[in-house]
Amino acid sequence: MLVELSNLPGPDWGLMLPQLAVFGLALVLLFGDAFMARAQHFRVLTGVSLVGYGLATALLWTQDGRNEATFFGLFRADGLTVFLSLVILVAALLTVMVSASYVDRLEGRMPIGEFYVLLAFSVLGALMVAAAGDLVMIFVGIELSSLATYILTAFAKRRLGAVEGALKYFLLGIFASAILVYGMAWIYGATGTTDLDGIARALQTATAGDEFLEPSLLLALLLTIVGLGFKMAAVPFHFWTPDAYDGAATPVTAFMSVVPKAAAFAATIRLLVQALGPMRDDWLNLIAVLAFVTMAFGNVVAVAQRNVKRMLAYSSIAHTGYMMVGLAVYRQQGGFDVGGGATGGDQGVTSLLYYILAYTVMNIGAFAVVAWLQHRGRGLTLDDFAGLASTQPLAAAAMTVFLLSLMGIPPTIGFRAKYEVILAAINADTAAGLALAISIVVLSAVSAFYYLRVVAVMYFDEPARTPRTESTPLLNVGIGAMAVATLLLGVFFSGQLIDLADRWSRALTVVAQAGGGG
Amino acid sequence: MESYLFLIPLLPLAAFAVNILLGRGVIRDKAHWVAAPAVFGSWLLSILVLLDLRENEEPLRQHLFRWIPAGDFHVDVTLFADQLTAVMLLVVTTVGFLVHVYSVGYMHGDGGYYRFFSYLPLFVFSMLMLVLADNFLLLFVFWEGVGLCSYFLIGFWFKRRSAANAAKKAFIVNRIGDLGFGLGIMWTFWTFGSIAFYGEEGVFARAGEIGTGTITGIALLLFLGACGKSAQFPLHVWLPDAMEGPTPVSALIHAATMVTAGIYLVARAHPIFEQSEAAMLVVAIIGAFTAFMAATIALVQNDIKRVVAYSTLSQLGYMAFALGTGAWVAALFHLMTHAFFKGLLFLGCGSVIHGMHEEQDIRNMGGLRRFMPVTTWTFFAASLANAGLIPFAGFWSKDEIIVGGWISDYQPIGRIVAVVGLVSAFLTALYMFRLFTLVFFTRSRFDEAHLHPHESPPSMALPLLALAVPTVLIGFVGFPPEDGPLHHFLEPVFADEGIEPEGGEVASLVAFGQEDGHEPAGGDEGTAEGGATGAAADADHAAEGEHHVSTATTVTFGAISTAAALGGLLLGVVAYRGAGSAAEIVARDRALTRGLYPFLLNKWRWDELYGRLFVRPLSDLSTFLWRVVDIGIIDATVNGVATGIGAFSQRLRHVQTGLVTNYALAIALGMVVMVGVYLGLFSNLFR
Repeated sequence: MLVELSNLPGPDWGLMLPQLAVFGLALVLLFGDAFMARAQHFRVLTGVSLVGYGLATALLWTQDGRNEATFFGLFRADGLTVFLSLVILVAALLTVMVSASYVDRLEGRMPIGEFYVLLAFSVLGALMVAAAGDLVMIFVGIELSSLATYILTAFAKRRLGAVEGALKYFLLGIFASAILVYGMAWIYGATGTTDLDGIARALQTATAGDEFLEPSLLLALLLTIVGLGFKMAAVPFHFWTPDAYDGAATPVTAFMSVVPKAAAFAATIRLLVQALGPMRDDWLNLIAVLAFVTMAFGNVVAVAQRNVKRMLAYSSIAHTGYMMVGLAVYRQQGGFDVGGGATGGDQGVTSLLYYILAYTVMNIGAFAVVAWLQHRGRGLTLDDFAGLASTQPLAAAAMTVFLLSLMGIPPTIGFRAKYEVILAAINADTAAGLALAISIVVLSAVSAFYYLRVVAVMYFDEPARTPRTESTPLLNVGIGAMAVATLLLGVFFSGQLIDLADRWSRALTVVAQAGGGG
Repeated sequence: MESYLFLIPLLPLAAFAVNILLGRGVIRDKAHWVAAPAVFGSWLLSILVLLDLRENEEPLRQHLFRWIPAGDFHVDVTLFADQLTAVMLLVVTTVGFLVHVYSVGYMHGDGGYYRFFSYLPLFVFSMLMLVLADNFLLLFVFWEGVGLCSYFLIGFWFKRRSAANAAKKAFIVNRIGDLGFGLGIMWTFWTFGSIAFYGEEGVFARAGEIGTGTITGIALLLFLGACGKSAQFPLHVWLPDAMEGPTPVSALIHAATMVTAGIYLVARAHPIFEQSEAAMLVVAIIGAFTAFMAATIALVQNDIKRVVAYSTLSQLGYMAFALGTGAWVAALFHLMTHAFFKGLLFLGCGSVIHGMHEEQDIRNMGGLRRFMPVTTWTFFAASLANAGLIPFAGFWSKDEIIVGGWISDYQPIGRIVAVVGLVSAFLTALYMFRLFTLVFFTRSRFDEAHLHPHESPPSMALPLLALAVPTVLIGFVGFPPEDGPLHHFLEPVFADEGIEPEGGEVASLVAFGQEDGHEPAGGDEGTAEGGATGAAADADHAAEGEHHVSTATTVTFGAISTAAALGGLLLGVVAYRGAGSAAEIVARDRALTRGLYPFLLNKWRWDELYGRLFVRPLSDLSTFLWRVVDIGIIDATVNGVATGIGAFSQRLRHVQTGLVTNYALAIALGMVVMVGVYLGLFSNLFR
């Protein structure tokens, strides 16, 4: 499909329906918060959020397969947009289900309406990044998403830990944003454009046939990677993660661990693959090193944690490392530099996208069980999980499913995702790819220690005390749905999902050639 | 038409599922009502298969599903029934059903009743699938399946140490054979690119295209598997110990069916074996040796079941040497008759043991005919059949094997094993009637005041009677010799090959008879030797058809083997008549066997030899690997790594200081390092 930007008469609003739906949802929530009776807030706004995200998810089908751009290339609706929007919206839906009753009962919190509004803006920002076709759009999206998340972290505003985490997150976040925008400025300076395809085209000529790069380009690349590394929580830019995750209310943590990360990966893919693709040889190894350091650090430090929530925080760092492997073995021969019709997509990027989806389901699931237990008066340490299997067998079973999936045990979705990443790494046929594949396997063995420790404690230890009974229907449904999805999606529909994830990198070639020719 | 094939194995499988799931809580002591009718259903269907195959000779096939799709290579689960399968089906289901009925009485009141009636149909299922398999891999799966059931059932009374050990021994010894079998299958796949039996791409159709070395290797490996399962020397040591299992199990698995799987395998794979004279030679020698060795051991054993167990070994040896001499039909004929009379013998043993309140030592029995007439006379019939007396079943089949060896074109080995077979036949009659005399006749050597032997209940007696019928009559399916209904029925299986041993044999015999010096390849030595020793037997060799042996030969051998059997029988009766005490029996054993007595009593000392040669060194090596390599090196490494990571982790966690300035510093430092390295290495800044 050809993209003739100059021929577009005006903004194509119809192309942005899912994003507009979330924007509309945010507005509705704002008005609802302002004009409705306080007592109704919880029920009505929860319902509105669910319907809004559901509607937006359904509207994704209008974008599917269109591969078009509008607003002069600022907004793109292509395969990446659709897949990542799907992930983000599903995560939003699950977050609402997980957080509803928990947030409502939180002590010293902000009004419930604000929670939903902030959530909606954060989701909107992430969606914007996923659909960005321009540096400015990426930055605005990331900032919109981040700012809302900073506040969400401090949602329990009277709790010291929450405020501390939020403040650290905020300070380091703006630090990283500054670096990122600095890097973007260097990119603009070197190429003269903020349009991603334009950057690629400019780099195409700039990098052709030269072994060594212009320092300005390298600086642009490195600064960008540092900024994105922070958002992804890659080591050594991860330091905010444990404190912020620990400080935030558990459902917020679940959200934070997924949606901003998905947005960060969206930005990374857009920037590195789409715009800086011609400099691939320069960033592949750097990403590979960062991926290794990240998964090694995350896994090793997680071993020492006795607080389950903190353990999950480090585990999410480790998973960032696994995901980065998919990026580090990007090797598409199509793209901008080689003509000829490339047919298959890029296995690396595809595996990364699929991994994000898997990670979304299982990670929110694990945090959801933690939240479910907090509802019932349990703490966050390992001892609080003792004997869970005998007092609350279903919760223990669900937790076991999520942990096994995070570990990568068949037939769960986590196994399938890890398998795809490892396969992509091996198929890259490079020493780095092979080393990364081996690292994933070895470090997964390390991760088995801290994941299985929780399972062992749940099943083999004596319960310490009898828990409170609570009614949390929405949360229960959410956990059940996630457990089933974690168990089944690795086997069923995985072909379709991987195909969906593959669409973008397949289409990338076509678009790029068309752009390059025009 | 053949769409019912799947029901044959499915019925016992369903019975297994029901009993294992519901047996403990719901069904309990009614478990036989599930298992026995299921096997009965399989029996009816097996008869249907038999009738089908009699009508038209085309094998039945039923494709169930594709098990392993892997590119060009695929393994299907297809049920396949030709005449060979049909005979096996009938044997398995008939004996299987009768043993089920028998077990109702025998296992009555046992704590594991439902467990027993779960394993038994599971075994029947596996065995039926084994004979219905249409490729090596599927056969192998159920080969292991029957092995597993055998393990379960030998160790059925697992609280008894000896039973648990026997089960382990059976399992481990079978591992050796199965390893060979597995390698044989792999080699087959490597050579042919296929593991299917029949069809254009099948292994059998292309067996002739392969070099002799390869085909011999494959055949010998397959036979190693057969040796394990059918308890042929040198892997025979597990079978006598397997008698620790309940007696119905011994009858069904360790006499009538499972142990014949090896014979079945060789018969099934006969197109492969036929391509290799060396392999045939090995099979024949091993078989003959086992037949003889086991018969000698059986002479002096005192445990009633062990005598019969060694007899089983010996008879399996007969079958193996029939296979090795190319007398395929004879081997299967003996397999069939043996299944019935040996099944009957074991059930008789069970009846005796049951009636004697778990006494198994024949030195403590005697005179039981007064207490259990049904057992006595059915046992008598089975003993005669086992001894090979005309007209009982064993006579016809054993005689055919010996004749088959004599006229085989694998000479001189065929004649040697035929003679060994005759000697063994004499020994067989001797030990059978030593046993029969000592158990049912002579004076009772137990305290009749305390022990009251009794006849078994009808559920046990009826199967005895039911099995006595084929024991007496089944031999006539092979009558007249070499030309009976069984031979015609099985003809399509063994006649469709291009290279036919019988054909070669006839050619060689004809050549010999005319003495015109026209020798077929490989037969010259044999013919020369034959000329010296067998002139009388070879008088009339203008053979009418491919499978036929002259009447004179048949009659001569019939007479010789009858004489041998009768001699053994009489010696057995005379030598042990009136033995009044345990000591006296031992004395007579010694008198009969002279200096060989300790050697025979200790079963040729194979167990001791294996213990010293394999078990002890292996155990020492294992201990070394465990103590030094595993604990010292592997565990230490693994634990060291774990401890190391844990310690490292504890240190690393302190990086997370909680101070936001430190974090920012880390980010900045990371950036500086990255930028420095990259600008230095990859840019043209410093160039």
